[in-house]
Amino acid sequence: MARWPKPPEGSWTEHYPELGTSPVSYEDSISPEFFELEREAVFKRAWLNVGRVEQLPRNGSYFTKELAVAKTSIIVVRDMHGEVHAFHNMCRHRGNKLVWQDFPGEETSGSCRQFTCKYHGWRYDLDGACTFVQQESEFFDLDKADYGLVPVHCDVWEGFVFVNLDDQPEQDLTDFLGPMITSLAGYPFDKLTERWYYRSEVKANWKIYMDAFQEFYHAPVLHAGQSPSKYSNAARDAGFEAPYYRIDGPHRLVSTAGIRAWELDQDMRKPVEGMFRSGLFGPWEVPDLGMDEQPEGLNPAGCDPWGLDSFQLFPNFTILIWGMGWYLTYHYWPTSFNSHIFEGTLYFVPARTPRERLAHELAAASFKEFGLQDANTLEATQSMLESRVITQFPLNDQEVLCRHLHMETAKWVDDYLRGKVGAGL
Amino acid sequence: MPDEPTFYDAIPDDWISPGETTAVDVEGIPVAIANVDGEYFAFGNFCPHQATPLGGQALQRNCLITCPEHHSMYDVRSGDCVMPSDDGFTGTLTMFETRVLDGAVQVRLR
Repeated sequence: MARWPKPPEGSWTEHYPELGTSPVSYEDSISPEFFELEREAVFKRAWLNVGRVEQLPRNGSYFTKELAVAKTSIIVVRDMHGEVHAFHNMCRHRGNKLVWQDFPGEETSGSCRQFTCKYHGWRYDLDGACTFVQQESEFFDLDKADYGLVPVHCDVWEGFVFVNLDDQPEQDLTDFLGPMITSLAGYPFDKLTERWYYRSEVKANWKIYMDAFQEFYHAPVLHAGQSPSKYSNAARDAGFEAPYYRIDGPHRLVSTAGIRAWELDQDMRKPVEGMFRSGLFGPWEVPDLGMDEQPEGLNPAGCDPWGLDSFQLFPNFTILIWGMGWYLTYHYWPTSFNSHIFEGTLYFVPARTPRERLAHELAAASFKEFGLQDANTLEATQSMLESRVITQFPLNDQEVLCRHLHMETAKWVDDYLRGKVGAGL
Repeated sequence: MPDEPTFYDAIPDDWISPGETTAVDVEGIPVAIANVDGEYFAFGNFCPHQATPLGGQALQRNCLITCPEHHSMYDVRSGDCVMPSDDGFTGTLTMFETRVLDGAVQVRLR
């Protein structure tokens, strides 16, 4: 018996009939050929989030982002007028990577007034214009105006910096984000500037990890050891149900109910949670977010207590907003068909007291433990999927968003292939 | 790759017999090629439903191919879906123009 009302069709999956209810193939996660298509069809066509404006605190601040999936590296920079730009991280002279520190494959960040190539000393201002050529008179009819950095389409929404590697993006950023995501506008992301960051290379296809974080059916089982047995047993017996799912264009949302951890019996939680007044769901005290009203897109089922809303932005970005007044982002950056870099970032209102700081630390440490448990199964899943012993996998109604991600990816690849047709047949 | 459509070599013209299909990489695009009574048809090698590879299977009735995963059936001459998948997917194959030149089956790509 469902604890939460389901749509009139009887299930969330059937509410979106294009998804079907058949078992799903994971060929898209184990095929090197399909991954080569994803590079072009998905990652060079969709808007990709590469960070937040707080990573560019001053005019002249920059960071680099390695985009192995697109076989490039980019520089994101705030110019001397405060505008945010993105460029391919490549010198126009002989192709050297322009901005890097000790190791060319590692990301870096900092602040400068111009970029200088380590190789022959060509310089570029923060708008990308070439401003200095070493021994310019030795060149042949070279006009510096023709040798600016190669720009990447870049736009900012609510402080999130997005880039698009297409020559001419098919949609602008707002259209791409669509109504479900843009209805988060007004959430005080700019006040949640205390940042905790984890990064890990995971030996699994990027979609396999996205699947792990877009269903919570696994939570009472996989994470059972993370709670006292009295709580785990109750959670396992109850199973997981989300009160609300939504699909809007290429993007997805799952919303969950919360718990009032401070009202639980002591044997239902770990002693450290009581001491730190915090846990996986975050600090027990909600900070002042300065919001008169919550953005209309949040807590769509009207849960009380509300747990979280996890917005899955196609292709590889998640914004997860907790009812307790903080948020997480996830990024999944493919490096091959069966590996990717996972980034998990926690954002809090900066701690004012040691107690607040400890509450943040416990939330961050708990998140890391859960993430490691999830990542463990991913490598085990990937290795057996690649055996192709089984090729069809049943998904239940709590896994509706997994179904959508794989279908949406196939659709982008199919759209791309149709663009390759050389004649009107 | 130039933006103007161009024919690229895909397979030798004696590679597959009538009623057979194969899969091949053409300029980075996975393409399936079918021999229908001596005429060649090319289409994207991944089923548009859930990316199951299609090439390599025998044709049914000399011109139909069935996705092994959810049983969508397509006419490889037109790309039309002649029978929806088990769960109702009715998308069509992406078709590429072909020609035979100097012993090679070629596929036209943009």
